[in-house]
Amino acid sequence: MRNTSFLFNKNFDYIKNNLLLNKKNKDMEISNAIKYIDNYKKNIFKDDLSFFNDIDLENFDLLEDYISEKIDFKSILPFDISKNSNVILCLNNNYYIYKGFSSSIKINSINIFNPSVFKKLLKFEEENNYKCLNFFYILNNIFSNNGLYIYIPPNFILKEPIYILNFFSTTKNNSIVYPKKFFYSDDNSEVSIVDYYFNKSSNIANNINTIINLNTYSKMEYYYINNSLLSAFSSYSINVNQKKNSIFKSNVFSFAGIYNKNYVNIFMLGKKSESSFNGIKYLNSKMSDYSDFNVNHLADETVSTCYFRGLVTDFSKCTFKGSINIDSNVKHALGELKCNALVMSDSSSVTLLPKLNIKSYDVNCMHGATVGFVNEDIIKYMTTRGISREESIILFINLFLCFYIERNNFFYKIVRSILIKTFFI
Amino acid sequence: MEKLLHISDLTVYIGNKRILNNFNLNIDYGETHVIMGPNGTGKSTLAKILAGDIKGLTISGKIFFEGFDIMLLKPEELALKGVFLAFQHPVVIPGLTNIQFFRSFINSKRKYENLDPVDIIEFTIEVKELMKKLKLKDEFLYRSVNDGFSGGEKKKNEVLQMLLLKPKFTILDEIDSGLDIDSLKLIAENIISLFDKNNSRLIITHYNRILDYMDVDYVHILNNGSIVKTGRKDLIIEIEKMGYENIK
Amino acid sequence: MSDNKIIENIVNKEYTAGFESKVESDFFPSGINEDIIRLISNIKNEPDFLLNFRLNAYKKWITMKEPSWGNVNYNKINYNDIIYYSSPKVKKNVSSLEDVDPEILKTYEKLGIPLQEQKRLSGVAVDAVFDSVSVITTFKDDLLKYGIIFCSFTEAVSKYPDLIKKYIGKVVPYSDNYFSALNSSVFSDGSFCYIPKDVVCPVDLSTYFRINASRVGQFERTLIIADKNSSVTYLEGCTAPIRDENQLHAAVVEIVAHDNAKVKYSTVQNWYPGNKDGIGGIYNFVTKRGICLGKYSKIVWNQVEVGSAITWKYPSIILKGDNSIGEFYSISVTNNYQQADTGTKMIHVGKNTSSVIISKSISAGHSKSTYRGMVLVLSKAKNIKNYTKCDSLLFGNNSSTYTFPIIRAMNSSSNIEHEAVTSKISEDQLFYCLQRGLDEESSVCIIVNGFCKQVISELPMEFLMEAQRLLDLSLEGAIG
Repeated sequence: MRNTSFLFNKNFDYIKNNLLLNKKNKDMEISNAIKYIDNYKKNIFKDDLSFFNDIDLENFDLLEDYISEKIDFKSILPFDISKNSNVILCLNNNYYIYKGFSSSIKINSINIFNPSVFKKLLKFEEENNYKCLNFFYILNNIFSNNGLYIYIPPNFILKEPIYILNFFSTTKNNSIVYPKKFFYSDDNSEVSIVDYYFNKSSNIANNINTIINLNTYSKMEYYYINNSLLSAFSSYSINVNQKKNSIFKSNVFSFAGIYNKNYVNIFMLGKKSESSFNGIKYLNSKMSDYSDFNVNHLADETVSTCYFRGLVTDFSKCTFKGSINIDSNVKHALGELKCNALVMSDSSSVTLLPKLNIKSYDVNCMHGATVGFVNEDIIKYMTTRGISREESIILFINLFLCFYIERNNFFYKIVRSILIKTFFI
Repeated sequence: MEKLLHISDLTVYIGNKRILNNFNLNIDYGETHVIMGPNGTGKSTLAKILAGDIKGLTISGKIFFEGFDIMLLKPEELALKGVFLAFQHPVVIPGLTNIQFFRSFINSKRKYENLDPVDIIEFTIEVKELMKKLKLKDEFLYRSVNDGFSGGEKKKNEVLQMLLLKPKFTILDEIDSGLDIDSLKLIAENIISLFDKNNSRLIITHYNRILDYMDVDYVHILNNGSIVKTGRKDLIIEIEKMGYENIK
Repeated sequence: MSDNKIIENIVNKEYTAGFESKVESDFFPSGINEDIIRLISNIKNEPDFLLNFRLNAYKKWITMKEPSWGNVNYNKINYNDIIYYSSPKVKKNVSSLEDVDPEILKTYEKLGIPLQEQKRLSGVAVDAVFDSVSVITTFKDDLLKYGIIFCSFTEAVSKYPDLIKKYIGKVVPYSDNYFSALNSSVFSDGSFCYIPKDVVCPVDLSTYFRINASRVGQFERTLIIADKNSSVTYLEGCTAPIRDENQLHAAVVEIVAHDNAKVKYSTVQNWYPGNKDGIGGIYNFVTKRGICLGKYSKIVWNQVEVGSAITWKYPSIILKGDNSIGEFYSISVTNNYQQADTGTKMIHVGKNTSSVIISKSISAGHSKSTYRGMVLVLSKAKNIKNYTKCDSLLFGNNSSTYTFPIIRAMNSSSNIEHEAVTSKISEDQLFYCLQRGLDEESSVCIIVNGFCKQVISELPMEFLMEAQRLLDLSLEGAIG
């Protein structure tokens, strides 16, 4: 049993020192980071302490810049990439635009520390009043040394999705990496982005921060797929600022990580913006997954939906915390939050905390939550049609998890293929 | 003698969109008027305004009900003076039973007329008698208002309330939509049973099915925000033959 | 210092100060310490086990910190300013109804409370003509014929100490929370009820029948025990607004239901909520818990909470016995600057247990209403069912509502369903009622009554009519 308070204080000091030494950090970040660190010391963010007590930040090296082994990524990928696909490869947080990327696309992917990009990042945080900040976000701000910036120019419509394939691998004992993604959709643009993560080593702690800005009338579909077999620790945050009439659709499928933390914060800053979130979790063995979803209605006539479906089996644990927050003086806001969980073994557990924080009366919000086992009626029906009980359960699970994905959507095929692989392992 | 309803130069905007344009109409006591017209021409807006729902509308012109300026009255005041609107899409009020609802508004009317509230048992008997006329089962009384009702049941509920309130002026907004023939006949019979020389009705309809069962005094065609033609019942045949656009 | 010495000192003080002998409570010193607790126990003639219970609770209390996680804001309570012993005599010297706040009298009239009752509730000295004591005594004697014990807690301690010893603190241990520890050390009085095996209590028991029920204690302690196959309905509180100089009320209610027993506990609470600007008002911090100890037992909590400046309570049920059932029905109305943080905890321990939670909250004015619920299913609680519906209705643009449910399931055979809707009264519903000739206030009343129907219909007959009138009354001024 490690001396947890020792690691606790050691990590704080390490961060504080690094914070001040890292000259890239602006004053605001420093003061925010220090405020957050102090709050952690006061145990205000108790949930994240287990990370703090299991990891000795000083003993974690930053991940090396290269991948020493050859990864046949084409065989790993659960979807097809053709020669003409728009692909960005990320190898240990270094980004390469694939040869097949069409040159007629006006997309910029540059080093994230370009000053104009940095300015946009600071503005992003200012616009949502720094409410996107949390411990992992700040860690990422302090230690991130590289990232991907995609800018979609105004009126630009991209029909084919952009695939970002992220691979991580190391020979070292303990590594930590801080990928940062910044997607900026300008007015009237339309794009879909697939963010695929594959972590090959269990010695890599991954702290990902994805920041998305949608300008007026823009549309984005964002898919996050975590298909690592095992990973030491993974934290990813998705933070979205939505301006007037923008539409954000996200599908998140997380399928890995012994210890996984996810933060999704959506800020609907502009009138008539819409957001929809679909989270799917499949946990087995000793996985532990914690999700914190917050949608903030800060303008009139905003609409949000959030659907979360999780399945736990073996010894896994799943926690889903979701909140719909409606500011006072917001008119005609509609919100819906549904979380459904299937518990498949008596040693696994699930905790659901759907919240409503409503400060305006002109709203119509609802949330629902269910916990159960497979629906016996449906299983019995399938068995009477000649399908074995095992197969029926598998079909049911597939139906349950993919409930909110449109059948003709490519994402559906991806999820299905990953699920099939798991069931037959 | 005052007309029951006098509308002059009514122009209505929703935002920038003009819905009614210099609309004029007079309805006398004892008369049955019909307004027909293609969808989206302002028929439902007219019905709403006559019942006192003017939210979000910019209105100019005058509407007088029995000499009273409607714009100066609250919806409940209009209702107590005898205006009744049978809604096209009656709303659901969960948890409130029909009998509770009926008793509430009947007592409100009686208070206005300086009468004592109804006796519960007598009132329930009266309502059940009326329900028989509409072929509604007793259990209907104890369901929540319009909760889980079929389209036909919702319309019957509107007519039942009409029979209870015996209004001076009834506005029927698409009462015939979604009804089967038997229900339609039943509803028409019950509406007719209230006809007398002291009350009037305005029937707003898209199709004319209900008019097969009753006599009407005037038929108006509403198009582009105002009445383009007024006639008698034979105007309906003309509409059927030529369609709304070709009426001159 | 021995108890006699303490009394001597106080009595001497009295003489040196020159006070004339009046009501006991005028002399009791404020503040809390071991000596005062011993004094309280001594004045009440309590057996040693109870004194020890109090002292242990006090020792625990001083190590605890006042909880701050509630979604409520209030001025710091000075625990040394409170007088922890209340005499059974009349506190206020009100000689006639003319001395009572006319606002309160108006409310009594609106609620249809008879004059005699009004006097009793305002603390007016009871007329010699109206002898309530004999009425109450005959009633209790009738109950005793069935073996049903229903008396004040103090009386139960002296007449049935074994029962008290067996059950006190077993459902709500003094260490449970800050306020239960405080209550366990200084509790004044309350109700005790025991229903023996196979007996169905023929009447609904209510606090009215306790002697001096109108003198609501600050730290009430209630214990209800339903033995095998028995059943009882208990009514707490009344619809009349009770004003009390004491701001903090921290009561504890414990319920134990054995095999096949059924207990229904209904509360209608209309304590002084403070004025329109949020000044004053009672802080109602209650710990209520029931345990379904036996198989097939059932406990139902019903509450209509309309008063108090701050309501902070979670009537909970531990479903230990297999096949037991727990139900929670609640309406909470907050207006002006009231705050409510209420809800329930259903803890499933036994197999095949089921729970139902229906919570309706209405917030108007500048008020804040929070629902906090927990459904916890332990690993060995196989095959359980839960249904929760918590809805909120908002009036005006300054009120806010929060819903914080926690659902935790640790096995694969639970079936849990939770639904919550927050909205305002729809314009369409309102217009429908207006068009039928109902004015705005009446329309809102009937729509709100429909909203609360599921909960109101679970209340016992005695409370049903009063609760509906109370609901309408409390919404006055909420519209607009």
